Amino acid sequence: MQAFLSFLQRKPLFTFVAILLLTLAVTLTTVGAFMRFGTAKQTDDISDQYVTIAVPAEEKSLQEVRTMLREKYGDDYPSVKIEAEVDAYSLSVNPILAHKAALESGYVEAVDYRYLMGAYVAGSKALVSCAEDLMEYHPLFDYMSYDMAVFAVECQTARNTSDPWQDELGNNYVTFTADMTILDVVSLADGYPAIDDPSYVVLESGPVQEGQTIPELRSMQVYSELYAPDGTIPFQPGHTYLICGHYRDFDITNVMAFDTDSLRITEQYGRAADHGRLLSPAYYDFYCAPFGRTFTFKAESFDSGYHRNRAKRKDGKTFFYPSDDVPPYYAEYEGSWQDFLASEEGRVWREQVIPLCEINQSSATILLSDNLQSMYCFNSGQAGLLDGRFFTETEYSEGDAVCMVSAAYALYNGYRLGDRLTLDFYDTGFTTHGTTIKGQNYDAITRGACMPDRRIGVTKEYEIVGIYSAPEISAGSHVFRADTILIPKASVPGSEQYQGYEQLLYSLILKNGSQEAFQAYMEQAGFGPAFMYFDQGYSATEISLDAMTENGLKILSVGLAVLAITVIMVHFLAIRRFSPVARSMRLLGIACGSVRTQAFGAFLFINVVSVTIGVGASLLLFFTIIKNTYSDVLSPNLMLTICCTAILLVFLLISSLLCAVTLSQVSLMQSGRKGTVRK
Amino acid sequence: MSMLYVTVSAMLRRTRWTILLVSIVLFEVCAGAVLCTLISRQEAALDQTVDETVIHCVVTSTQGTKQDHLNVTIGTVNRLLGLDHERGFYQDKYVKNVRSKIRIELTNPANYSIVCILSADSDPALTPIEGGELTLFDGWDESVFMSDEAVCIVPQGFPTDGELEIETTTFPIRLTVIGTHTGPKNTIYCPFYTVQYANGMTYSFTADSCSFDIRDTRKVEEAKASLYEMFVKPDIQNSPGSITYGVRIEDDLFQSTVTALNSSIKTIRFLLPVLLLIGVAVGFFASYLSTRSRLKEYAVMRCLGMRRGEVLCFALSEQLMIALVGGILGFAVGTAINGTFSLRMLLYGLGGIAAFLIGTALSASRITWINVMQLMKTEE
Repeated sequence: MQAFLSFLQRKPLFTFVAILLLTLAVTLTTVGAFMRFGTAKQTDDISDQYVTIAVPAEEKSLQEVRTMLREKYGDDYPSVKIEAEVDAYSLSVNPILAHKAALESGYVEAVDYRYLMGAYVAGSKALVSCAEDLMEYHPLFDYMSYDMAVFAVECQTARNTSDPWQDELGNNYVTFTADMTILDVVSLADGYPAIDDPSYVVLESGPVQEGQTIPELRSMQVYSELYAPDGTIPFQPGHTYLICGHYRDFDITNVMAFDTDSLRITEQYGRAADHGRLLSPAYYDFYCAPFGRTFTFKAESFDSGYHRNRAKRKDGKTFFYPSDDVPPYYAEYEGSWQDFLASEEGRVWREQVIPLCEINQSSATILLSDNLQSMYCFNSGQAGLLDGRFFTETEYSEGDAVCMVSAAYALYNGYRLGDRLTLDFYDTGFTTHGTTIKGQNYDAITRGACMPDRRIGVTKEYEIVGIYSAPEISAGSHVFRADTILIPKASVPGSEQYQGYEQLLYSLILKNGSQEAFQAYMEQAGFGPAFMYFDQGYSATEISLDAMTENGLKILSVGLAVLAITVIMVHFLAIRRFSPVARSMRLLGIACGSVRTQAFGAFLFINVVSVTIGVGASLLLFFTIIKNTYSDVLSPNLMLTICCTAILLVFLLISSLLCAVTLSQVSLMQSGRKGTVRK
Repeated sequence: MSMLYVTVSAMLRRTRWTILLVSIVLFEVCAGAVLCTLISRQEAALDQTVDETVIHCVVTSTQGTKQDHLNVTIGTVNRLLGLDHERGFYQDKYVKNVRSKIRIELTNPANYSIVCILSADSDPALTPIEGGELTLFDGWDESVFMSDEAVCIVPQGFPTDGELEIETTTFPIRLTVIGTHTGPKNTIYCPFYTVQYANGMTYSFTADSCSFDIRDTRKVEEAKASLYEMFVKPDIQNSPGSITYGVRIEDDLFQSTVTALNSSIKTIRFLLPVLLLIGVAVGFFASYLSTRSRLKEYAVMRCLGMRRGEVLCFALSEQLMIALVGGILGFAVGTAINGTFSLRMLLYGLGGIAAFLIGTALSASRITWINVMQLMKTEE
């Protein structure tokens, strides 16, 4: 080993330049590797911020499709062909088949099956639709939960009514209507009117005109199909009752008012719609699952054994009366309702009915998700973060007790970031149905009431980490409302069981950049119309990410090429220099193996020094850059540095070994001056 | 001529060495050509990303609690559209694709509403995600929604003879049907200003909702500053305002992406001179070392009577030929890799060749200035 090392020592210029060349090449290669892996990591980091989704498209009714096709082809087009196209459409939007095909495509990264629940939020006020703005009132949004109320009333009149809708359905059963004077509001959500509240009664400032006010909370109607067990109307004029039901106030309609002289609008005001204020028996609606409405529950199908009994009246008409297994919805009392509640008779009201109403009046809708960005509203920018942050990956996977609330809900309840909400969960189920809001038809997804038997027994304290802004009280199949608290799905045990395809509750998360390929695949598979796609603008960002990745790769390639050529050159030169020494050693009788070992040692010295300095220089370079750019996105990590060093060392060791072998086989018959090496 | 012959024959005699040196120049020039385009390439990509990114803005209540049923004044919408230039109130320099709708209930047809829209996507109910689809008859396009033409789009299957007489609570309007839609069944759509300027009169309304996009994403900060003069940043701490609105600018993702991409460009900007220098240094030292390794040959030349200048000239011409061949090849490969040609690439290539030749010149001049006897005695 001494001979070659001595040679290097005697030729410091050669040694220095050779090491310098190799060092430069190693530096370039290491920088290339750092850039390549740094940009790859950075690309992944940027890409991870984007979520490409496929969400179920709004299905057209088959009748709509038929009309469309008729308009497209004209009346002469054969019906058979139209029907075939209608059938094809029906298949192409089938969510289960489309989902199966999507999973087989290989482009789906994950599926976010969300779930809708209810929760009692201790100390909160439910965000009823008219909580912030009376003009926003819509009974649909409050129905089945927030609208549960108890009134003390006096019956004025009671009569059997015919329900044209039920008649149309062929249901031969009777209903009744009772006009009540409201004596007192025993339990009603905060956002609703209080008796003698003038701010509620007059909708807008200015002269009060007919229809511009909501009648004071003095009277209402009770509409029901639940009779007394003997088939009589359970309310008698002049008697006083406690009554529990779903409260429905006057609908508010926006009306433009005009000054007829100038034909300009003077005011926009609300008007109470024609129908009156109603109360329908509480929880029976829920237990009796209204017609045409199927509630979906995560764990098991709900026991929808109607909690009412059916009987026939003498006139042959069918009537219903409550079964004994549910609390009463009315109770007659005398004197004051407070005394009645304090009595043994009022115990069920005191301990069950009123607390149940209060739970619902302090409840909120809970949306469980594994990726909020995969929801159409957030993904498309319809909803956005106002304050705080979204959940982290860990919070989703660990099911941490964190939540996001809407600005409207936070404002209404005085919540701030960092506040803690105690949520007591109810598997309320949910249903999707069409409705008309402010004159427009929409689909809406609503949850059921928080009922004792739907309580899942999970109570947790959640920290508010984000406040979002979204359409407050809007309908739409992909839209959620401002009463919704968003939480990680894994934070509620058992929620993962639910896998449904409702628009609001289902998103396919696609690999970023694969949208077009997925779309083409689905088109080919016959499910073209089944999904709609959104990528948060990833397609625009992809151009830069590709350029960045390509640049990283180019730097690495340049580094590797320069390293290869430099190693060849340096080793070629070194062999030329070392070969007279090797020949002399061999002529002196030193064994080939010994020459090889000594030469290997000398090469090793040059290479190890070069790699050490080169890698060190690269690190220094990067840390200088990071210091100057204040950005550590491309900073090399320890593992990468070790890997780079190891790979370079191995490469150079192999190269050294080859050179040493070559040198040890130097031809002894040729002139040493020429320095030619023969294998 | 004789010099050229000697040079070429010397190069051919040392094939391996020549190939190695040509390869070094090739890689050096190619590396320079590739590296010098990194920044411009990434900047061009970033420009394209910025151009193609859409920053969505939604008008909300000042507290961010509402974004529908806002009662936005038409003046605000007009200002966003740039219709009040003469009054100095306009935002169209910063915003585009303004979407807004006004819903008015009709007394005839009963239970119907007319929704005045600025574009098809002004009403979410009319967008494909909610199952809405707009079909305009021949000769009409979506630009009509920006006008005050007395036209309308009726729900699919709505009975009409091409004309439609509608009535608000106080005045009737006669509209020409120009298309159908599959959105809400009880909604008739019309251009944004149709009802406002109906029957030759002017009526003022308030819009239910309003949203828009940033016109030039490069000037997003400028646009934000201007928009926040007109609107407030929504915050639940704000006091509610009846004629003041908030605007939610959805630029977080864009900003974080651009910041990350810019930091990458900045890193390359810092790194590039160093990388180019390393490339040039490799060429320089390679030529220096290769020239120096031929010390003996130059000594012989000197002994044979060649002058110092001639030896230097010989060394340089040999290396120049190598550099030219390697440079041309390297430049060609670099251009092929980049897929483009630029003057900068050429300059970097020439710089690489120059460094290579300087290395040779330096080494050769050092050699030629050494005493001939000393040269002959040397082991090298």
